[in-house]
Amino acid sequence: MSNSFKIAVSSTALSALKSRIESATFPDELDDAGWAYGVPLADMKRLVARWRDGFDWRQEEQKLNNELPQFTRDIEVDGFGSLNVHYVYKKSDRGTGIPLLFVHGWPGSFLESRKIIPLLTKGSGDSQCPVFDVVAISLPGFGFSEAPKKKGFSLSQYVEVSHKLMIALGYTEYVTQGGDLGSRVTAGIARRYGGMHSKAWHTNVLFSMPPENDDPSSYTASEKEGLARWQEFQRSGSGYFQLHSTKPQTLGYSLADSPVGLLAWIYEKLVSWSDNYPWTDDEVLTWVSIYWFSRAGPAASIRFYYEVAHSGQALGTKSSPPTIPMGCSLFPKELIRIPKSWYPGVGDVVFEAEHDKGGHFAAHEQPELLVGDLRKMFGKGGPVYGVVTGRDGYN
Amino acid sequence: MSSPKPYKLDVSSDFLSWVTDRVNTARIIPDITHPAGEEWEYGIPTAAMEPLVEYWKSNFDWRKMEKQINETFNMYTIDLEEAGEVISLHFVHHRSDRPNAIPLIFAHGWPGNFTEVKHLLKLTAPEDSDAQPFHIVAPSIPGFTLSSSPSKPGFGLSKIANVYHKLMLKLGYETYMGQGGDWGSFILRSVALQHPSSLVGLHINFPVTLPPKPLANPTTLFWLAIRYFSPEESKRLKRMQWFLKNESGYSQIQRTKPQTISYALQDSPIGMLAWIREKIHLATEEDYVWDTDIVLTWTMLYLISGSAGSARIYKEAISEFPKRPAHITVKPPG
Repeated sequence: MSNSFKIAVSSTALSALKSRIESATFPDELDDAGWAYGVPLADMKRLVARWRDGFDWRQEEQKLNNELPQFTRDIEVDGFGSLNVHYVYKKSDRGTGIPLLFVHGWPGSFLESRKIIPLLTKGSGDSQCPVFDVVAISLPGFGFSEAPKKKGFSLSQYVEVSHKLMIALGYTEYVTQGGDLGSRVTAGIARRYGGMHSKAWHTNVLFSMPPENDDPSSYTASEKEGLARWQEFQRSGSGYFQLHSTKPQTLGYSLADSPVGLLAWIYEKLVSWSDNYPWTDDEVLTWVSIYWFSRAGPAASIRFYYEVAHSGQALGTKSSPPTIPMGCSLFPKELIRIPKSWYPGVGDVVFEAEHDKGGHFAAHEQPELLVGDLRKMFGKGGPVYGVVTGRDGYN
Repeated sequence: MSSPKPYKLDVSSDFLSWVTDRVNTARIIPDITHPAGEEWEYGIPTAAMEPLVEYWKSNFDWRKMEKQINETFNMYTIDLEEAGEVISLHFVHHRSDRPNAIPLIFAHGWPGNFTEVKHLLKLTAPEDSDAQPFHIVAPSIPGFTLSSSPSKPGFGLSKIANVYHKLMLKLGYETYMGQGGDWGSFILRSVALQHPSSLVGLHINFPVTLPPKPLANPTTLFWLAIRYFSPEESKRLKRMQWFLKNESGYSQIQRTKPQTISYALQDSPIGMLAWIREKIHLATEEDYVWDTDIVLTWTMLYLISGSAGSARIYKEAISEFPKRPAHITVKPPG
């Protein structure tokens, strides 16, 4: 049974946050450090000043509640008991919407569905444009979903709980979209529930290992550049990943105790992973607030990395690709871009679109482009039109 | 030219109230349940943090710790110039009154500090009159705890080494010996490389190097290739691999984004406590019991600095590491 949900942070929590922000202490910084050592001090001071005076959480909360219809329901996960899961759920404005499960990543949240939901559910006014019923889950440990209480809640479990949510909503067949961790979850859904339930999947992050007999000399210039960007990311931008994957609890104490610390940890990625997206301070603070006020606290979400790293499901582990049709949207500032020759390891790519702008947070940075791709992929004339029985996105 | 100024640790009451207030309102995260024996798998468990924080709130007396430090250690600061920067270097200095005393510089690392030299102070006056006495010097790394931080990028190990060497010269010690672990060992190795006629003896407990070169050390490489290790070597290699795989996230983040992590650590006393406490748990023998007053004092020393310098050293130093280490020849004394 689902319960309607409205975000309603207590005034105690708000004032506790306020007093922490007011007593915030900053480290020093080297002269002309820029972004070379991490988030610049000037950015932090500006954001914290706004957080202290000006940023209005109650207003943001109200906007979110008005825009996004939210619910919670209990879902049983094998071996973990019942977890109360938070999600956004909006049906199409007209016709029979294609059921689409959107899965967020880190440091994102259900918020990442905010801009694409109206486009997906309303359509474009063009009768050729399909519409969707959208479900945006908050993964356990994120947003307002409960966190698992014991170890071992890994990809398989995230996959299971996401699938069960769609079934609980009456969608025995559905399609998925995911980036960042959401890409891994939706790939897992495609693998385990593909065919009978998940009918097609779309992602903006492709990852697989190179095939045997791979020939690097055949890579295009942009493929080489994409691989170089991945190498640089591993060299200088993946410290968070190492820490999340090994000591999430240790890091968690400071993220949960210092809003400034949490802000820096998240803001660094919002800026470095996006394509010059003009983040407003309030936008950043809203994203960070979701973590600060999350039901399980900011530390719970990062356990995702630890569990995956220790469950034999780490990135790069060999596994057979899903067989259901797959679509991908390539954005230039995504963290990784694999050569086309590696695609067979990812899945059965029937739709591919490449863009000249956009980064890791595709749904937030370029909602029109992403939705445009989904419309092409799933709409009339598209490679997977009508893939969900009886729900083709039209009347 | 500057000379050493006596130093007494005496933090401002504003700072102390800030720490007290933050500790009292600390948000300790919940934990998942852990199978017995696996409590530390995800980092320092809540079950270990809670008693530490409780002690911090109710029993920890910083002013008493300050008094003990001031009574135990003769401390000074001195302004030393290096590469266009002036560092206010904090150090401990205990002179021996025996005529044949040798100067010894003790170099701490992370997350250590000058207080680790406590067990060496008795070397100024060994009970056995035939035993070698030492003058003891223990600086705080620039950017750590009580020494000021450099203000420009690029202040790596070789510059820190020069600062240490200048300190010894200022104290009248033209030749000296050294003892160091963690960063201390790297700094002293750099002193030995740059000032070989001054650092005449070096004891390090953190030797790090690269595998042998095939042409220079063919036999050693052969044993390595066929993975023939003595049981002791095997044990050490396994530990090294385990450390790299499971325990070096802190190093990876500090050598790539030291500023980012420092916002969290400097603004959260319990965050800093967790960061430090976890690492010292695993860097010692299993049955070693850390005294809570010591753990909290170490944490305070890092908070007092207010600097991201202790994280930045990783980035500055790693970019300076040579592809192959130089061969150090150390001239024996006498």
